[in-house]
Amino acid sequence: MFMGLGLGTHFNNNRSVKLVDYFNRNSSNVVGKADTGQTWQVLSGTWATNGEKIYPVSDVNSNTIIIDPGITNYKVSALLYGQFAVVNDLRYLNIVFHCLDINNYMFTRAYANSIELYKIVNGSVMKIGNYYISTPDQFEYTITVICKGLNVKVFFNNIECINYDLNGTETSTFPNYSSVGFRLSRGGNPTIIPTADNFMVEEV
Amino acid sequence: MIITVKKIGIGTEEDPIRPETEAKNWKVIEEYENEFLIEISE
Repeated sequence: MFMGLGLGTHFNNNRSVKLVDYFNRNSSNVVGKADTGQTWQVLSGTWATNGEKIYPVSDVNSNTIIIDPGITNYKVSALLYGQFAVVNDLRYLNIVFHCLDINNYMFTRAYANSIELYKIVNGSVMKIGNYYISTPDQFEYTITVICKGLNVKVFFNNIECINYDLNGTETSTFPNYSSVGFRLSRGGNPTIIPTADNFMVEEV
Repeated sequence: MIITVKKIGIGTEEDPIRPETEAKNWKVIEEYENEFLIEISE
């Protein structure tokens, strides 16, 4: 008599979860919609789903895809796989957050034993934080970013690596940009296809 | 330790604008026209 109890509550039993995409759908040459209904928006390049993961089809550095969770204080996380141990041969995904458009956003990435924090303002790339930590190459790892007010925290496999307070003109811009997503870092002669999975945005 | 360092880079993926530091762990505290105030840990 209890059959059916809880049906339909997979994503609603926790009110803080605003966006989820496990990419558990048929392979497609468009990414389409997240499990929670929001639509992915390609800013550059071509993106697809395959093997129940998202990956960049086009192989051009800085190709970007975003999705809007509708909130600006959030914890965004994803399970990533890529190649970055050899500095000149790399192909992996970055986590994009506080994104307005292709020329204005923040991103973080693991790269050759560092966790790095960047901002892009009017198309100009600026590195604003770095934390040294061992980053095993071609293994899955989780990057988590918590944006709350003027603060940004970055975690690598649940280890806090960067704690950054927005300052100056950053304080009136980035906190208002809600979109999150993925960005490709690509250089040299990489040998693997980078992927992302288990994408989640929770309100904080 | 909080120090002031020169701003280097041209703002591209290959050469981002960044503080001139050899430190492994750092973050920008404030940004000025030609310098960064950065905090270095470890």
